[in-house]
Amino acid sequence: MGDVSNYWTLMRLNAGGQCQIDPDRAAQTFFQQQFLELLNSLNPAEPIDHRAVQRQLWQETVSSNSLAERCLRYFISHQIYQSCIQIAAKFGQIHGFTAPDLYVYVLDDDGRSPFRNSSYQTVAMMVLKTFDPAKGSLTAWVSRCVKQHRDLREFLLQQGVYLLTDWAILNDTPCDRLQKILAADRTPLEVQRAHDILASFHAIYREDRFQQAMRGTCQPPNIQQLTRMTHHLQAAQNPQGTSYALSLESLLEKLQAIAHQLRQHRIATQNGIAPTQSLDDPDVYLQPNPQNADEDEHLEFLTFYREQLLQCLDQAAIEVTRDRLMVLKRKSPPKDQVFLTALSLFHCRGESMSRIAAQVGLSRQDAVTRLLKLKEFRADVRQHLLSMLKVRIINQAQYYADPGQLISLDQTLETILEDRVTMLIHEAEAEAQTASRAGRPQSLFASRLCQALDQMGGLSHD
Amino acid sequence: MINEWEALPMESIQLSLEQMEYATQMAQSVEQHRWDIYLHQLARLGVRQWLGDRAPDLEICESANHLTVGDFTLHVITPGLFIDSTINLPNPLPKVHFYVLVEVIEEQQQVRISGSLNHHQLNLLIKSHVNRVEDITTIPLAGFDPDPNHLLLQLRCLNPEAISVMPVSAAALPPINIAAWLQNQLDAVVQTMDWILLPAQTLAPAMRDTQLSTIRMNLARGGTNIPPESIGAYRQLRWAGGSLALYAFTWAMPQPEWGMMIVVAPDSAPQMPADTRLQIRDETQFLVDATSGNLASVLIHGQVIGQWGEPFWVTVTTDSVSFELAPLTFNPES
Repeated sequence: MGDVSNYWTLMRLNAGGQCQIDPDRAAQTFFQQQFLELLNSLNPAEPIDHRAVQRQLWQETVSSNSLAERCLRYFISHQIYQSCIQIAAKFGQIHGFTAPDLYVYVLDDDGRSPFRNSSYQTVAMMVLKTFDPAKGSLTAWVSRCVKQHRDLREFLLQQGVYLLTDWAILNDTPCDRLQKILAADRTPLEVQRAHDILASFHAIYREDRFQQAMRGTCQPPNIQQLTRMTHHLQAAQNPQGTSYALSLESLLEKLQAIAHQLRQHRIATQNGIAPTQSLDDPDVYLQPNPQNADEDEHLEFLTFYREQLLQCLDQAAIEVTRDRLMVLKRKSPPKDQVFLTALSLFHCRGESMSRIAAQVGLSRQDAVTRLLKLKEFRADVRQHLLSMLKVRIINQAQYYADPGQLISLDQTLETILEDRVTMLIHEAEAEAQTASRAGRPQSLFASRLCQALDQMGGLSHD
Repeated sequence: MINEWEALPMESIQLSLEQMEYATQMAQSVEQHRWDIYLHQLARLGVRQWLGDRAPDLEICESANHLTVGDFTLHVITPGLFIDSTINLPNPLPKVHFYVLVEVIEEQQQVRISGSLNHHQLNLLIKSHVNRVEDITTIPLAGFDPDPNHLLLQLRCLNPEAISVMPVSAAALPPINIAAWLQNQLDAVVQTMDWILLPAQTLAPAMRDTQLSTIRMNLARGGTNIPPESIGAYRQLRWAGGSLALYAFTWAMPQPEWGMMIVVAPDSAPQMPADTRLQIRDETQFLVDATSGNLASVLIHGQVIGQWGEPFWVTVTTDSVSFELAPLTFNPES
């Protein structure tokens, strides 16, 4: 029963940017009177029928009851808040943002401004303008409006989190693939109709997009396009002698239903492709050497040639850094200087991403992560190194003659480079090795890269 | 709802408006499967961009159907979006060293490198999914190696012989270096194979010029011109039912390219047999496929342009007989 208070408390952002819950006594009184019977008759353990409540509040709102409208508005604010929490919970850690980063875009009802007359349209206003209780719950509708919020999507896109539109999904699904997917649980007639609808979507909407060279997020089809689609459909149906008249609204709903089903199918099948899929599945790509069975042999090989390895490592680090700088210089705005500074700060001073961000003038730490792309950088250095070793150590060609061998050699090399107690450097050298300024032991990779960057004039350390 | 949001992997490439425009133009002239071709172009541009950003040390060349990266050839496969857990491969598939699986998010101008396989691995995967319906093979997306770094590692370090894609029959014949023709020389090998340099010194003077000028005239009538400085050679294709004349013309081009024109003409009879067919291919696909049809056109021809050292195979089929010639290449240094 606790969530009933969502109808008379507003979840909003205060001046300090924090979440705050404001109760509204008048709304509470109104709600409790309106739903007196409902509240009294309820078993405390029984969940409330929100849809029934919302339907009634909605009808009152339409009849210009401002208290009823406020109740809906408050409920919406809690749903928006929940949506942000969910998105942040799923993606925030990896993609570098928190729920408060999201509130600023969508938790935009301050409870005070005159609701209808304001020129700025809040999410709640958008929801109430378009909500139809006959078609679904308010919760689902709020979710939908949050998803479509342009600024929120833009922010999330920059963080690497993204939502495909229905229209993009429809564009990219071939008609015969749709048939295969739907055949599982639809009648042949339904499958045929869905096929024809998708075909007309491709012929009109997708063709328009292509011919007019439209870029960016797909917008919903407009009235003109929907009309042309119905004509196209009628032309397709007639040869069979079946007339199939669809209203524009109906067509739009059917398109969205097809998109929804395809989306669910995509989600279900894409989850199967994630690395957590069982390795016993014969369809899953197996690493050539899953346990790196040849690691000992590779270690022996790489250790034996430690001199060449270290020399090549230094050279590889310089080459890859130079290549990166060259590529980043061409971007607009150029990013080469920022990259070099960030790379040095990370490897030579052991600075954290957030401190680096502050020092190079980037607003967020994940922008540093995205700029550096350290995993890829290290991979490129290893690959340059292996390529050089190949030329210098001619009699070890067997490692380069088989993809599986090559990949596991690379894995072994990675182990050596990332190790903090280096296997390659003799005792005396290890003592003389300069520890990082932060006092933490460096990996072999970091220490050699740091020396290379010094050589390139990366940073003055004092 | 939360499931609908997706994470963009680090290996996503953002395409510029210019790149989008280029892909649109490339697909513009096509009538059928326009959207598919558009998506394929976007995928290729994305892969090129990715290679340029990650590995400027690798040299990239573009052909009609594949990319050459360092020592290897690469073909891009994309269905656009991954709606399903499988992908359809067209049959036949170009024979290249690596197949790169790419997802294209057209509405966000994004391309993702989703996986790769080499030639052997793909064939194994295809064999274990015997699903051929109407020339389409269906394989699981999960069968691809998802780590793009593995692809780069192989492109940079692997010995090319580790993945052989040459069809056995073609490997058996040594290539003929027609760069020698520009020096008015014939390979020792060529001399034994009945090629005659033109103007043919062995023909009576009056005949030499007639032969060449007839060819030039006929081609010009059809709107094709052979460069005047081109050098040609002629050989006869003979079988029980008759013979045909095959001409190969080559001319110098700015390094490192070379051009070749192949012409098939009647030899013993006034016209060549109906449905005579000329095909020219490179290591991975057919580039020219011309037929004389029923109109008994006077001659058929095809032209290719390649890199120095790149071989082309010429096949002429006529009257149920097929002539597959030794590959022709152009190597001025050897």
